[in-house]
Amino acid sequence: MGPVGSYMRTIIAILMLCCMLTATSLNGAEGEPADQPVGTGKAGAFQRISKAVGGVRTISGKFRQERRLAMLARPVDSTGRFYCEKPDRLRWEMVHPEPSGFLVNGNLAKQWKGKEGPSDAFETKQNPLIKLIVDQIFAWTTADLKKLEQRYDIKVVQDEPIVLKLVPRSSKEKKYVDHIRISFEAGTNYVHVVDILEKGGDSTRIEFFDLVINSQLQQGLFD
Amino acid sequence: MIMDALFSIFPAIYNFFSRHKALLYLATFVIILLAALVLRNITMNEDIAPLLPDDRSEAAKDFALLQKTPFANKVLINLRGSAGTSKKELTETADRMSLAMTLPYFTRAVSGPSLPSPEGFEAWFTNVLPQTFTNDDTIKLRRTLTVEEVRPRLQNVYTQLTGPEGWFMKPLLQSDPLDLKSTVLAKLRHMNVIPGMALYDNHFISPDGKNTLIIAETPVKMTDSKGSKELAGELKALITRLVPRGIEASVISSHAYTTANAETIKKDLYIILSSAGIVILLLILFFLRSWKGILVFLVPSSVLCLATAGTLLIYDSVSAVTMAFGAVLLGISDDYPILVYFALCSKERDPKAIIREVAHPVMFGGLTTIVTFAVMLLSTLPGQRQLAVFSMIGVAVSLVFSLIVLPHLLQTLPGEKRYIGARSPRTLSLPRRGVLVFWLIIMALCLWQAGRLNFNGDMQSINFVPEDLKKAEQHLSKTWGDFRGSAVLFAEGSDLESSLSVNDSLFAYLSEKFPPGQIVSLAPLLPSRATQEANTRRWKGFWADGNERLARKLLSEEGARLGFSADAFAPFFEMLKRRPDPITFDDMKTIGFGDLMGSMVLKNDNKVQTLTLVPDTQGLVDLFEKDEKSPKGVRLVSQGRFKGLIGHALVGNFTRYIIFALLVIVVAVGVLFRDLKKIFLCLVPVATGLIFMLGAMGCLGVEFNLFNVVAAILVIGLGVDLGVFMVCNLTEGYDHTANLAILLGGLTSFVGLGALALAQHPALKSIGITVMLGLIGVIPAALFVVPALYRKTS
Repeated sequence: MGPVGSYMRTIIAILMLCCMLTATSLNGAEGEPADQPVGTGKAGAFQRISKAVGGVRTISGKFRQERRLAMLARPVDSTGRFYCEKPDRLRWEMVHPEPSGFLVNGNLAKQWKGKEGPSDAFETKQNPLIKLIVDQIFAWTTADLKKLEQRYDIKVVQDEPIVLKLVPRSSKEKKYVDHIRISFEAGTNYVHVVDILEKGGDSTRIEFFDLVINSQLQQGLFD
Repeated sequence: MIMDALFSIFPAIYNFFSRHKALLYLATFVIILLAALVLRNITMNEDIAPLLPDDRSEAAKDFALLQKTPFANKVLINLRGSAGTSKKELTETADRMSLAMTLPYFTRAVSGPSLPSPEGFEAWFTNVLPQTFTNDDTIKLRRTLTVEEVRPRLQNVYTQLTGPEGWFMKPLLQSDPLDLKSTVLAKLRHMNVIPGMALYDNHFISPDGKNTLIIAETPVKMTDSKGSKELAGELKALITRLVPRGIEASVISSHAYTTANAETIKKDLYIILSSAGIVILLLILFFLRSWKGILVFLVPSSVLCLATAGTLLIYDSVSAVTMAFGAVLLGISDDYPILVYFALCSKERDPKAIIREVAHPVMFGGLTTIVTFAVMLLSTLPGQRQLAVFSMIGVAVSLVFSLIVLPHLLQTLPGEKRYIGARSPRTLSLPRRGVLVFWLIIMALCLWQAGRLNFNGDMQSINFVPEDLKKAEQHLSKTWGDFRGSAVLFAEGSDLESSLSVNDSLFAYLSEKFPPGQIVSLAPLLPSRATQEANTRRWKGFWADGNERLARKLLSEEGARLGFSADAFAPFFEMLKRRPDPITFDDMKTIGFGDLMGSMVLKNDNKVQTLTLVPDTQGLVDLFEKDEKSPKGVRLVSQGRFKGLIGHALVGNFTRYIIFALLVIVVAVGVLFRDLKKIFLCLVPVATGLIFMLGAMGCLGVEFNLFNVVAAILVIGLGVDLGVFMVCNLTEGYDHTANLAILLGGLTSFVGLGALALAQHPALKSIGITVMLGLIGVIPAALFVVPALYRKTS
């Protein structure tokens, strides 16, 4: 797959991370862990995340993306859908302005552009970097925050609603990503916005909405 | 006079041992015992190496180079799934197998290619553009710098940039908006050694998804039959343990051939030696009608022991093919004791006088046979030279035992010396004219058919290939392409740079003759330093020649149309100004081409060879043999060319054998008889045997191969033996017992060789069949044609 494969893997890891955080917030919104007293600060935020992740099997929804790039004269808006199933399945579909997307199923991935069908499967574990990413996916789906902290320097920017700032530790990822900011909606603990800030000032903002949790996902979505 | 003095030794020796029989028996016993002791440490060698030339010939050099080709010493395991087997099951099985393939049998086993790491590749793509920029690339790039080409490319950049991958592809898209990296990607196809390879989860997978491949390296040498057998056992155990039902594993390697050949030769040895021994003993007992026939049989049996022991004193190990030849030696070396037995049957005469008389044909026949076998010492094949030593020792021992030991045993031990038909002696006499006319007609027919004879230099024709291995080879070739059968071109230089320089010329030359997909070469991505500099100058010149200005205009205008900012592609123009670092051998290894570099660049003490693979066709062989423009410093090694070289060597060997052997026996028979008529008569069975053999082979489509060319020597040796016996007999008093001796001698030789024809191994079988055809001519010629001609001439 060449370098594209490499980028895809990092993208996949970040999107998985976003999905699972979204799931975390939804669980919180459904009130299951709400009757429990929770701490504040980093430990408290992590505690809430850990409690919520356990009950999530699937999640799907819509997103809106805005890209601001120095290369482009104007920001580019796009919309799409996503589907995620624990522990390692993800489908990310861009609908507007140009249809495109990718899916990952275990250690295999596919991508497509326009109205073409998905490409042949390509492997996501060709090198140590991939192993790292797969480890991260498992870390998030199992709320292994110790592992996540090995990859990102995580700071709680705001305690209620939670705002997390993730700074990559690896030099490879630092080449592209300055930091990731995840903002939760006040009251509902809903992950509303994920901002990815790149080196050089470019940025991407993804807003999630119409989320459905633990529904039966359509068969074949990850094939 | 000298001859008379020589033959008078034997009655004297007989006389001496008549008084010291105990000493004779003790000495014989000790010699056989010593031989048996030497045989206790026998090392039998089933390698194919003795069957290959070891001189400085082209064939020998080619064979040495064939061992260095990328897949020559590798073990390939093909896993084939059934209808319901998924790719995942296949690749998981391949992983289990390759993980379990460890020392001492395997140093490395891979189920997928070692792909370059994407991180290293990213920088590498940009870095190698100038150094790999060819004339063709110039033409293609010039075509790219048009609105029609740039517009869709920029549209693609925009789509990628706004999609999720754009987060990380941005630097690459900025530095390569025109997708120039695709020219480097196109060059990567020249690095694909396995043409039918697809990838699934970083595993080799066939396009139909039903086969996966494991490639293993082993420290076991392909010529090591014991090691190869153990390796095969280990693989069988691993397959039984790790490969589930529904997946069929087949192993293809040179070791599998070694094992199959070694096992077959061992089985053949048992069958050949035991069947030849039993039938020869029965024949002797049938003709001799006395328990003393066993004494006659003991001579060739002891000869077998002593010849093997004698060979082992000269060589470290004895070739299995030589051992199988023991059956032939049994058949040849019993001619002398049989002749002595029949001679000693006469009770009226003094044994000393008989020994003196019989020594003539025995020594004449034996010595001419020895000198005939000596011709094989000229062979370029070590196996044939060993065979010569083995046979010469055997015949010499048989002569000594027959003339010195056997007469005492026959005379002293109780029991009569009887033979078939002794009570009612009859001489089989055929009409002379009829015999000669029939003989001439057969000879004329055979000479006509001999024109159809073929010399086959294909190694496979003397290799035993079991049916399952043959099927596995066919399946491998069909599924993955014939990568094991590719011709290999060695671009040679005193150092890496000079080797790569030759490789550049070779690639340029081949590119004009072969479609790009058929050439596996490092030249497009690792050219020599001089070519890299020339390419870089071409690259700089291209952009300086107004094309940079054109690219700026196109990217600016078309970019603005799509919404790109003015300096969106500034990194691209910075890249054009950069002076690139040269591509080095170590760089290629670092970015992930380590395996390929190891296989395609061979470094020795004083030279470096860079390999190129192309399909092995006659056209290719012709190019490098006939085209004066073909690059210098390149050596072509291919199975097709090798076959041709061996074929030439065969014809050379055969011609040399015939000329030398005929010369040697004419001289030997001339010295012994000093009579033109007798010399001519002695040569009749030889000539008849050879002509009949060649004619029958031509008629039946039996080809000469690397090994059965020795048949010519055997036929000459056996023919002259029987010719000498018959001429001695005719000139020294015609006796039907001599006819019987010749008939029995001929039949036992026939049986010995017939046993070889029972072999499963093609090399042994071909010798057996070929010499049997020769003997069909030799025996009747000695029994009927020589007497007919003798009567006519006298």
